[in-house]
Amino acid sequence: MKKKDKNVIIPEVKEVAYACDEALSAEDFAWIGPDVKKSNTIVRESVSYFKDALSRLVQDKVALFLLIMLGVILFCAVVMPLLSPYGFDELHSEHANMGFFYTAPDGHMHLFGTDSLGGDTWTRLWHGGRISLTIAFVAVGINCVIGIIYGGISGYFGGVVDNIMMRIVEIIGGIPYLLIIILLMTIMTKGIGTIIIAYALVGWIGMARLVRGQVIQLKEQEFIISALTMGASPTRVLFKHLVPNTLSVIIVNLTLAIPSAIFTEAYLSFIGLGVPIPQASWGTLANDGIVVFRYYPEQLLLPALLISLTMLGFNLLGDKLRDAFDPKLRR
Amino acid sequence: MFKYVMKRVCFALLTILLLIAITFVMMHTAPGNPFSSNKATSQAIMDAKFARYGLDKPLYQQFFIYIGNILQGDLGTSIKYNRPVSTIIGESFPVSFELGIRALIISIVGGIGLGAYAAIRRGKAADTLAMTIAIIGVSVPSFIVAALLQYFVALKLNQATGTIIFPISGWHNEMAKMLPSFALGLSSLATISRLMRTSMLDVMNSDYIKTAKAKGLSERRIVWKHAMRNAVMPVVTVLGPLTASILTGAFVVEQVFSIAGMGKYFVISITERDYTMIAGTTVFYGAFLIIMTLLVDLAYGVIDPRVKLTES
Amino acid sequence: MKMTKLGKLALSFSMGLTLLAGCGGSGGTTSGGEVTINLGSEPPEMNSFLNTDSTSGNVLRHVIVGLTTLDENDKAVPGVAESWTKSEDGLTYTFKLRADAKWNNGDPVTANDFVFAWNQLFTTRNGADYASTWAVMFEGANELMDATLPLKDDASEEQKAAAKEAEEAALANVGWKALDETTLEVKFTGPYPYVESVLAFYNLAPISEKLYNEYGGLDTYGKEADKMAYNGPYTVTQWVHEDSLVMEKNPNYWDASSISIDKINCRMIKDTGAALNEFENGTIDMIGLNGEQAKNYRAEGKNVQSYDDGSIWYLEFNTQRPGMNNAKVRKALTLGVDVEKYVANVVLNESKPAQSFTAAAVNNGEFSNKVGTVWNRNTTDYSEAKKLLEEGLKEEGLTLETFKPTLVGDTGDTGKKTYQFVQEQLKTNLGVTMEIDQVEFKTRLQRMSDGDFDIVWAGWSCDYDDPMSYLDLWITGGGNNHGKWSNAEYDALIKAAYSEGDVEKRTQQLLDAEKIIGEEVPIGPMYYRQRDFICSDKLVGVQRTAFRDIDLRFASVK
Repeated sequence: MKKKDKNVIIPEVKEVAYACDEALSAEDFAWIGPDVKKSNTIVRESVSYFKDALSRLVQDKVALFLLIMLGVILFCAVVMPLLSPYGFDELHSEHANMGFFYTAPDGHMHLFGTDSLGGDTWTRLWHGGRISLTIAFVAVGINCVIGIIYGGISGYFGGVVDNIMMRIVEIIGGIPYLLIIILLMTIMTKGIGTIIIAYALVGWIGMARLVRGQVIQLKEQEFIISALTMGASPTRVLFKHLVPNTLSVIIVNLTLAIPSAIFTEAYLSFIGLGVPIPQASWGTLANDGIVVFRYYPEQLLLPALLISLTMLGFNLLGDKLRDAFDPKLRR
Repeated sequence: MFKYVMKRVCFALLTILLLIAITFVMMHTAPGNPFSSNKATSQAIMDAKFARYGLDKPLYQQFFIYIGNILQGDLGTSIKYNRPVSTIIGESFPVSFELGIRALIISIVGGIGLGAYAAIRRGKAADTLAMTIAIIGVSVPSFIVAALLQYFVALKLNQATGTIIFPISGWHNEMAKMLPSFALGLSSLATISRLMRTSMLDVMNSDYIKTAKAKGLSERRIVWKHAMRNAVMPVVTVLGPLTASILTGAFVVEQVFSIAGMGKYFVISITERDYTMIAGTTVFYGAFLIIMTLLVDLAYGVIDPRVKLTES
Repeated sequence: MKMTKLGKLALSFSMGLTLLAGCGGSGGTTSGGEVTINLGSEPPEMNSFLNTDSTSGNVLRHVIVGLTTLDENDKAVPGVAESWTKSEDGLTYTFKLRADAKWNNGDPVTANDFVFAWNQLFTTRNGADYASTWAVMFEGANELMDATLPLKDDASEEQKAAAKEAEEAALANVGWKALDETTLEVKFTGPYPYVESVLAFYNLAPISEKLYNEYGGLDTYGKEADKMAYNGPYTVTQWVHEDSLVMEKNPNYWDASSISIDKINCRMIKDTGAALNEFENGTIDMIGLNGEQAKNYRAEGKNVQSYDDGSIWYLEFNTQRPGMNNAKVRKALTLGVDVEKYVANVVLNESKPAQSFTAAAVNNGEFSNKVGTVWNRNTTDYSEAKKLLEEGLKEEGLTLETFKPTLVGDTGDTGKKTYQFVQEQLKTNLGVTMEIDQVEFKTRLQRMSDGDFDIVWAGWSCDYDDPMSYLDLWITGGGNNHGKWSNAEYDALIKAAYSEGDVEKRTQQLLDAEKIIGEEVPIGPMYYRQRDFICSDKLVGVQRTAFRDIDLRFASVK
């Protein structure tokens, strides 16, 4: 049963005192008949699931602000490397490790200073953002799709199917990740694509487990039983009824997966499968920064700050999305 | 119930066997070998070393020998350290386990508490604060947290007070164990608290909680008696993998705090192509992971009576 | 200065502790005391004849002594051997052992202990990595190695018997013999001038057969503190794997009075940041420093010490690849990198740009002084290097557009920065587009031995104090000659130098070989590495050199 208590408008009964000089009689009223046209129109627009969710999202001021903040970060990541007078691979080794607003003797200025090789921090930061965000979005997107389908099927069908599918997950989860990566390196060329594949290879496991757990829990509930009784196909039950109900948990996991993707990339760089030199990513910048943070704290702080801001945006947005997409909260 | 458990155990054994087989093939396919070093070794010596560790035999033979040895409880001898793998695991696992358990307790207690609190105070300042902490926790990786804790909380505090409050590294006393456990637990704490918050919100919106409210039960009673048990479900789901990832992911924290745990071997064995060690740690962790998943599945049945364990 | 009450309390408390500790300690004398150093990692192989790594070497240096040992100036001086005589042809040495050399259980160190250890070293089955390096020097060693190959599992009884017989025959013919308890005769295959310093190497240290077997032989010897015999200044008294190791003064050491420090605690902290924190915390007395740390300590005026670790870092070219097969191209690529700038920006210490292949640490720099400057690096004008490159490429039918080499490097300390720097240098100075393929260590080794690279960033450090330890790398078919460079003249020079008894002549041959490297550029030398370390005020006299990485035998506590 849906709970619509909040939306039920109970008409208030008011005592109205009519100040009338003439008394109304029955003759003053005539039966004009039903307005067929009006009674057949649907007053409230039929709102699709996604439309409804989106409209609610845009109405929320906090959500709007977060969207704008993320938009700015994205915009900077795309545009700033293009606008910058320096290339991301340009080194000014004469003045390495410089602080904010460093102006070189010949007059050129580094807004955020330079890194340990004299690369322009501002440029590398946004260039890195571009790469990190690409990896995070694509990798997490792939994980999400695989995880939902896999976990959904496994949880819904249960029994032997579930058993086998979950054992496969255990095996994949049990193989040392580093080993998978090392093998992958030998057959793939370096690049963002490889990193995404490296992350997606095992990244979906957590999502699959989560979805499966939720589906198992939900499928015993009344609304699913009633859907099945009404003859809904398994696909319909799974993707129309079960998955939307797990969305809240999925979205939270999704927002958690993004930082994990960014840092998996940093880890991959550390073992040599990261973004090819001389490119940078937020993860590698933070990785480099941690080594020198006691001398040049800004080299750790800047990438860490950008990562955290992005995460803050995504996470709070995730909460809003959850509220918007959760069918239980739907109007 | 018993039959179900037995069946699962059989499946678990099969899974481990497959896991070893795949790992076995993969590690032997990886470029390089355990004996390669910066300086070339003569072929004769190389052959002798291969022979000594039985690596000169065909792969399938090595595999069956290895399986046979495992059944007798022998995990072989580490090629890099030349010590029995079981001894090394026996030395290092208890350390990693303790570190993991401490981190896990911090993350579960903190995470569930923080998440539930944020959910109850939804939309209020406390909610925002709790979730900001959680987000910072999850967006700063453990290697940064560990290094910062070591520098600011250990070194700077020691220098400021002139006495050693938190030792910089090691695993020798209670105080030394604090920072690494916290560094390792923080990101899981964040994960759990966020999962807990959403799940708690779902539960708090459900009919039976409303009924409970309508019945006039105190909020404390509602939260503790009715909501928590159901809200904790998704958390339990991730607990198995989370435990495994805390235990295997301890490498960075172990390195920063110089703790002689197993995370180190898990990584070094692979970079050094220490075949017996790779296989040993994989079998050990694989079994651990699978047992954890099994326990989680069983815990499901205990926590949520609606979930049927036995397959109809 | 503001100080909180808590701070004051803590301070006074800790002072009390210090006072108490002071009472217990040995006070202000120069002898005795206890220090803690950072070893960096677990010593992986403490069985002396199997050892190849420097971490284990750092421990072994303090607990094991061979026939000779290296003194403060890296000169070989008598160790277990009290004195020795050399035959006229320089091939046979007769060592007289000290009567007071003892194992830590009190057993005397005898000539048979050397014979046993060397027999083990040259038994191929045992798999000692350096056996083949040393076998060329010792009479009968190669024959023993050939006779001790591992047997196949399915070997018949006859084959086993035959193998055993061959082994016994080889053992009877080896060039090292115990004439009596304290006299050892060793026959070498050539008049090697570096025999005495080689004998200081751990691989050739004595092992007591009795104790070796008692401690479980090959499988367990040297794996635990109490599974090993010591005859050096210290004994390992405690070894917690991957955590710490304690060395205490060995009362049975003949020269124990010359050793000052009583107890050395070794930590195994790999993370340089953590080690620095420990040092600043006052809980470790000596740590190694990375470039950034050293630079900042120097700027603060701290007493940072440095030493040449004997390693040279270079670009190894695969001479089988188009472009790389041309000496002009190789030379241009070498000259196209501003090494001084590299050292100043990436290495961040006083490492020197390489002038030849043999590192300056060898023979205290005598040899490299003789070689002089092989490459004139012009760091202001690269037009000559560029011209050379274009010439070379033209000869090979390539242009700058088609010549796109890939640099393979591993994920070592400053790897990433190094490759990025070199890439940028070649781009700006020569216009060469070079891609970077950063791989993990073992993959790099595999790709090197497979010849699967254009250029690889590699390093080499010597095994013994002689240019030969570097120069014999590039002989045709050499195991470390990954670039497959081949030069008949060079091969002949190295071969001649092997058996040359005349020191002058030999040096000339090696100098000529260096010259060929300078012209043909099979590798592009970059720099000789300096390493930095710092000691606390109380620890003085620590020595670190290319041949003695950590040496506390001459150190004391102030």
